Amino acid sequence: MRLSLLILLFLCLATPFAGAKELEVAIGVKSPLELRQPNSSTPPAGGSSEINRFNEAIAREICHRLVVRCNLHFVTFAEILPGVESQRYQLGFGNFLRTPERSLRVSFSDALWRSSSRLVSTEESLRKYHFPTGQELTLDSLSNVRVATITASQQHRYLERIASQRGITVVALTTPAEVFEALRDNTVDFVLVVSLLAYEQIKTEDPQMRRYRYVGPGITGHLLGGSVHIALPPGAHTLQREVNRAILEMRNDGTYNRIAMQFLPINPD
Amino acid sequence: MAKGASRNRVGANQAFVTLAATFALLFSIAFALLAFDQYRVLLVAEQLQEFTVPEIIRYQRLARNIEQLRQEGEHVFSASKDDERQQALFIVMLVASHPSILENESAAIAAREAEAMLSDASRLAERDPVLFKVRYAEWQQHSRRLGLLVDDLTVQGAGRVAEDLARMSEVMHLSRYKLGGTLVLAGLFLVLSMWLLRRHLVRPLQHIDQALSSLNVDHPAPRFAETRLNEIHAIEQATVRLHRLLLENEASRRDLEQQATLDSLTGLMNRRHFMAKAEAELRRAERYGHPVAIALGDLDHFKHLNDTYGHAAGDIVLRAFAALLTESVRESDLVCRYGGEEFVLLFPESTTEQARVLMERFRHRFSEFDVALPDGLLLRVTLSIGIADASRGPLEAALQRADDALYEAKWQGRNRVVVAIE
Repeated sequence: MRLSLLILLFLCLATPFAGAKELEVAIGVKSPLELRQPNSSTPPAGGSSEINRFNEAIAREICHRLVVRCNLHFVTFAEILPGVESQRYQLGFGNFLRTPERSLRVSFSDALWRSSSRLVSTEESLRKYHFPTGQELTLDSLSNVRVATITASQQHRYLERIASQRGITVVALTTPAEVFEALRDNTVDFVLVVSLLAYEQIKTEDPQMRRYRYVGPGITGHLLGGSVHIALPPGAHTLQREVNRAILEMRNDGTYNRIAMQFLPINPD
Repeated sequence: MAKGASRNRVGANQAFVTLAATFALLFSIAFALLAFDQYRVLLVAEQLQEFTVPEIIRYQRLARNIEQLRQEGEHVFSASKDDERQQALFIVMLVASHPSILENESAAIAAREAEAMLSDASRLAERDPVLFKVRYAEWQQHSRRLGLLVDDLTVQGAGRVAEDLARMSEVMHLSRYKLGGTLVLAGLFLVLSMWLLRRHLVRPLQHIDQALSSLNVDHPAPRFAETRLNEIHAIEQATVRLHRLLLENEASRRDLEQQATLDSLTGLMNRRHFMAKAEAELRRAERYGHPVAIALGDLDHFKHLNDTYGHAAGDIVLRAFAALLTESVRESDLVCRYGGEEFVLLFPESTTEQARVLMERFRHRFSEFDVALPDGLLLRVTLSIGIADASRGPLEAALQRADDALYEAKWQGRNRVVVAIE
């Protein structure tokens, strides 16, 4: 009896030390307002976007399945990849498309969901740039316009590549809120962002869609769409295997779908 | 013929190795065929798992997204509030931007057109509600088109798995036939093996067992059918040799027995053997109360004959006497050379009178019998006989009484039969 109590006491004391493994998790924010609590592990008081809450729920579920304690950091998109690359963060949720260039810097998990990009404009800009022939305005037909996007995003990289050729002025901003603010203030004519982020921003700012208009169809070409992954430190193969296993288990047991239905209007998978 | 058969004969080891090798070869081929089918099934299963199932999931997700787009389109028209209508439109736009829809050309076109139509219609909702309602008919066409697309995608997705399953089923059917063929082959091989074992091993062994069970000198040498196995043939030959040895042993045994029981000169029983047989006969007679008589005979003047004509002539006389005596008495009577020129006879189931009549007839016959010597000389020898009743008392006593009677016959002048007075 006395021996059993001693063993129980030892286990109670040893448990906190046994589960001491921690992961630093970076989640991209939608608005500068969410940056008021840098490196905070608690979500902002004003609430965050649906996609961010979805990412946060997925991150917490993965941490739970990996049996580790996670510290959540809400940072701008541009900070995530360098942070993961320097191993400051072990998991990076920034709705990252896996491109060859990024794959050289960090490792990626299996696909988390699928994304496309969308061009958004205002009624005024559309009137200004519409084709006299009635031809639909698309990303491929844009020229001599100002386009805002998120710094260091794939959209930013693409616009930079075509900017000089098409006479496009690229305005890179840190958060989706800032990007749409630029559009609203007529600082830019168009914004090019992930469709899900565009939807969220329009729904928040212009629920009647009196100001904003989608331009052209969703875009998956030019590496502006495809599967979205979690960024992991380069060479973190064990962590990569464990995260992939957790994602697969989440899909198989329906947890992924429940989280998606809880936070998103559509299943992004 | 035997030489040819010998040429065709094989060793059991070689036969079984050949049988096992044939079995191994046939089943290796069958196993290889089945393994190949299994490999094909695994390939199809792998294809199913690696490509088809993800493809089906892709189709399912696409169908799900189009169906969601269609339902949200319905909400655009059925929503009672502007907020609800706008929310439905947002989701339509979001779904229309989903990569799964953009990757499929027909889905992308249908979704894009539906999105554009719903966007236009939604703007009318506030400005001109009547015109907005009119456009519902147009939406229904889009909705029907999207619904058909969902059906097509569902069927296409199912078709993908059906193709793989059909391939798998084909391989499994083929594999089943091969497995059935293998089982039939195994059965046939088993039956053939059993038949060969029975024909070339079990049956010959049974014949050898029967031959060994009944192997004795009274039966002829065992005969075996031609066999194909060297070892079985060797055992059969050994069995035949064993029978020959038994015959030889029996002949030797009979020779030894003859030497032990017969007198070598006359071929009659020797004294020791006679005594044993006579004792047994006397016990039997005493037990059943039957009469038995004993006679002791002695050739008259035999010493003088030996001295006159030599021992060889004496031997000739003794042999002639024994031969005549043997043919003159009954089968059941015991005749023995008692020693020298003395002979003893035992007459079972006979009284002294019956014995006397028999002996008297023999004495008379012998007294007139000419014994031819090698030099052509003919000799006649007489015989004196003493008879006694042997049915009571021991054999020695009966012999003594017969001897006394013999002495009496000698004393009375020889060449006569005297019965002992009881």
